[in-house]
Amino acid sequence: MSRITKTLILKDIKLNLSPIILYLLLGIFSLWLLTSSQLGVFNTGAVILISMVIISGIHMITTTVTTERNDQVLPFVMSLPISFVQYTHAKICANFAVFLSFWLILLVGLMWVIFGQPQVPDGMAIFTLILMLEMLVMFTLLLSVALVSESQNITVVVMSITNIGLSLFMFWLSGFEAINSFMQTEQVVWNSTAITFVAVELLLVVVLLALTYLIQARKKDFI
Amino acid sequence: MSDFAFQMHQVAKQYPHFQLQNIDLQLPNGGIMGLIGPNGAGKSTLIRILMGLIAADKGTTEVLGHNMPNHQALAKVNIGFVSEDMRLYKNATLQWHMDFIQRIYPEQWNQKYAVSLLSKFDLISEQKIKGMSHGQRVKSSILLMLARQPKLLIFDEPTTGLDPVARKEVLNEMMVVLNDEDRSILFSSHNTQDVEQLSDQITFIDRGEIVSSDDKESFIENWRRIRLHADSPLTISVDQHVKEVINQGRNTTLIMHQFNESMLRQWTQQGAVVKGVEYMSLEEIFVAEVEAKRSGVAA
Repeated sequence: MSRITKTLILKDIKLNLSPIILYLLLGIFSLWLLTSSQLGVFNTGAVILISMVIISGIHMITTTVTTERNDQVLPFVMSLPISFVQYTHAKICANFAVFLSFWLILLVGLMWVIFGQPQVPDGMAIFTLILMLEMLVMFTLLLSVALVSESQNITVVVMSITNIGLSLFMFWLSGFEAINSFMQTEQVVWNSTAITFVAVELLLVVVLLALTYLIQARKKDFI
Repeated sequence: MSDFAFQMHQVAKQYPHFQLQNIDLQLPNGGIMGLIGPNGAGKSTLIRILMGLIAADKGTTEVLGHNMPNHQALAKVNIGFVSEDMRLYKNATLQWHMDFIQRIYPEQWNQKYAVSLLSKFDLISEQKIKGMSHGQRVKSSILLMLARQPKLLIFDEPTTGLDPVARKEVLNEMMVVLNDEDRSILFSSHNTQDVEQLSDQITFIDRGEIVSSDDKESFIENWRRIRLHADSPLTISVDQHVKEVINQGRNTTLIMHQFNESMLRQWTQQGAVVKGVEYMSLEEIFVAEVEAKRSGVAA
């Protein structure tokens, strides 16, 4: 990775550091709520946690990609000694660096809650991991759409669809017997259904990123 | 090392409602070219092709010896670009931008020069961009560009929207830069006064085509406005040299290209009195060139 690409990545992270730290603190607070034995408090914690993961991703994508274009900062960035593929690479790295750090901290926290709290069944771990991976897929999809479409309107439409889609995905996932039947048990069962979900989600992330690079490399108008 | 800051050969770009066609243009190292054209003429498209921000459909573009857009990252190390529609990060200060550019160009950044520009442009480095006026934002962009001392400076309508004081400050600093003979400048504007003040080579562009490109003195020398007075109507038609005939009663004004004194004889023989042979301003020359091109009379 070139020095200029690294500088661009750090620039995007620094410009968004304050809100990201705020989301992270709220996320950690939600983990504390998840340790509660009261169902209402636990559910509040779950809602805040999911919201923080989604919001952190949306915040990074909108400020670093779509707002930068709408605010006409892109000509300034593209006047620097970078190609459009390097620009794309810097945006993907900055967004993934922030989102993945956030995502990993909360995933580890969730696993700590699931395996550390007696009132939370260990069987929830598989469902939770698949759900967190789904959020990673949606984040990747949103980032790809923002970069490729260069349109705030299209990005907002996809954002809305993915948010609705996440709720539908939760219902759909919990409808699988191979997943559902172990959620309330103390067993962590890696059956073929769970492995297929995880594999497909990881594959989707890779395919979306590959497609983004491919489309960006073929573009003729970069601004 | 190429002798030219940039060379465009048969460059074309097609859009649904606009096309840039057959652009052949070059700027020698150390040259200062003014690019003049009305709004929508294709100035920004041409500049964006030069910057590698748009890939042309046809032709070749070479900037500082690098093929564009394929080697734009290398070329842009030594290109400074400021355009009227370029904005900086509104929530960051000018100092933040200066530090950022210094990290991108650690060897080229001249801190002493940057500080002197801050003072000349009357800018406050700790001020956030969103709190600045349009003029201050443009001056900030120019400061960031000049302080890293690029070999080729490209300005796309930099003085548009500036008040007279800010415009003078910007133009004065650009004139200081011009003293460095190693640096080449391309300066686009629809304000011919600015271009006339700075450029030694001028290119007129209209409707996606280069109308003409020459040094400033040649343009000024080639064009004249002739004012004639005659008691009876004169029969003068548009031709290779007479580009426009304006009749106002007994007075006739001619816009002439490639004028020479002997041309006056044919009208004095018709009984006309020559009331004046005047040089034309660059703006008048530009309008005459464009009208001649649009009406199909080659200048």
